[in-house]
Amino acid sequence: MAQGVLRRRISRAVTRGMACLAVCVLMQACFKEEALKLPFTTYEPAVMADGWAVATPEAAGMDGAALTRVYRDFHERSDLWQVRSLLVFRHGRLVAESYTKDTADRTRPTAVWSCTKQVMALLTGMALERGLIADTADTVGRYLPEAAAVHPDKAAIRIRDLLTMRSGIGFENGGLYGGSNQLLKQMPDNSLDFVLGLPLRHAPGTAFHYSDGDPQILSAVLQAQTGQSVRDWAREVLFEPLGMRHYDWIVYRDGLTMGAFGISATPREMARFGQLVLDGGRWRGNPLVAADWVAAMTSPKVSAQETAYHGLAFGYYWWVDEARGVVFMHGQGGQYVFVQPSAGLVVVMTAEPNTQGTHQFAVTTALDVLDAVAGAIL
Amino acid sequence: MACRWCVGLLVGLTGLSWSGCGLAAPMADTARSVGHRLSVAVGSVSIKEGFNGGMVFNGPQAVVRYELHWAAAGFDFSYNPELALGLPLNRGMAAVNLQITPVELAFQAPVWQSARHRLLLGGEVAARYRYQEYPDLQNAHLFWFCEMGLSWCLGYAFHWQGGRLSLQWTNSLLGFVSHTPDNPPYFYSLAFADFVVRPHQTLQFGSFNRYDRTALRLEYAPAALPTHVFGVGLEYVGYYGATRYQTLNCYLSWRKVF
Repeated sequence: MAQGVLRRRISRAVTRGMACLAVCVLMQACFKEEALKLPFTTYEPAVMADGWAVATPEAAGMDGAALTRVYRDFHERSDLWQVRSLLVFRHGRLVAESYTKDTADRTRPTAVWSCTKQVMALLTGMALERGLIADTADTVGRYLPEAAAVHPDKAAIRIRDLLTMRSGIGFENGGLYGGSNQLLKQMPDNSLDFVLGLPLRHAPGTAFHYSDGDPQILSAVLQAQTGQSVRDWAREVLFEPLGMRHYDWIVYRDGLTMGAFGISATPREMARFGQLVLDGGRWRGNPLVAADWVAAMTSPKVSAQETAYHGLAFGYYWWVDEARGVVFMHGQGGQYVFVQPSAGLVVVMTAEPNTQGTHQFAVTTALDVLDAVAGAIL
Repeated sequence: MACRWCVGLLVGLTGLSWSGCGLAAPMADTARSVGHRLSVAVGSVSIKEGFNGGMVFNGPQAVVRYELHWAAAGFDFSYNPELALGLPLNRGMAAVNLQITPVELAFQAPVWQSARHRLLLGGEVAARYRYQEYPDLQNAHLFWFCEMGLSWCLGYAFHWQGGRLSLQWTNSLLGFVSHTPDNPPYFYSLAFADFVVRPHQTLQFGSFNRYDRTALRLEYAPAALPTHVFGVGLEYVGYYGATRYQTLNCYLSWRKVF
């Protein structure tokens, strides 16, 4: 009898407990995820007074229906939840433009991460042309003698080693205690001293090691030679001539402009770098960067075998897809500016900037989207 | 709104009415007493952080709560610090949710009672801090929601089948709240100041126009185990500033009364 009562009580308690749990599950369902992307409506670019001429696909020699398929796919694919924008430029005109998260991205700068490195390469070419740097074979010791005196093992690192990630310095981008995270947390008092103070893992110029440390040294070289922060100098010699308005570039607390990352810009502004490279260093007909430098910068200096990164070679900070004939800027999260000279094509793609690892908008996926865009060329 | 509806449903399923809620309350003790209680709860947490573009992170959460009670002449005072750690996920991206309640001072008094029933009304003052990290989505940037406010509490307890059943409802009234104001993409910091100073720098005063915290808890202390209390509860928090923040905890709890 007593056992029967106990059994009934337990049964009632379990039933009610299950009911409560069911309500809890229902409550969780109230927290419904919102649509992560806007529905596709049009890729027709907005006409803005930002210097970009607009063209219809037909006028640019592209198939509008094929572009529609590309854009619809870009908006609707659930696996591309991170993407934020896709812009297509052909022969210097904006053909298609769409923002998947927020149309305010058109004028709101977002982090482009390592695309900053490719801007650093452009600026290095400008410094060479102006005689601020004599030769890429020059050493860090020549331009940063005080720092080199403190870190004599780094004095022989050449500018071209910095541009090709071959300084040999054991700077690690990844990990909670990696060099990049320490810089992002602004832990070292002196960013240059921090990078140079790391041990040499290889002899300079001998091994490729993708690092946020090398561009920081280059930033210090440029700052020493221009007499002003790289950000200010870039504004004067590159950004303003390009007509850029919606951008920013962060400066470390020691006053050194971040060389490996730090630029925030809109996709339209980023496209200017692509167009500049596509046009051999000329912007709207005016020479800004030496054509020789653009050619050198975008030709492989590190083989795809050595980078071991999706079959991509590496120039002076610019990534090179030799099979596709594409050179591009590439930043964390999935920020890309693709330049395909044979097709007169510049394609910008951006994505959530702070995603990590496999959650990023992967370069292989972005190249597939690029192929689809290129496939729309008539 | 839907969440409120579910709260109602929860009450309905338990066979109780909305006739009363309150803080965790034993039946009336007329004698002066001091007691300690330790609660452990496991359940789920859902977080909808405005900076995550509409994503909801769901996952398990564990809560540890200490309660120090003073009871005198039917009045009940308590100090209830709490610590919770959750590991919610979205699309395989893990997040960390840390909730710290260093201060929760509650008071309640009986407004009606009989041999088996007791209705209590009270209030509480609390400071609660909720920190989130979304390493796969937001790198190591820290997000927080801080609440320092006054709530009212309603409790209803009655003897049932030799045990004690109680329903407690707490709802925010007014206070100061702060939520991560912006999310610069590059530099970040996890220094002491980011956990302590920054949440206090952007405090804004408000009531239901700015935030809401609703906590509901149903507990049963069986006669056979008088020092053990088993419960189920939920807590909803919403911040309605420029960048919204919402979280929901549902849990099963066990409390040991010392």
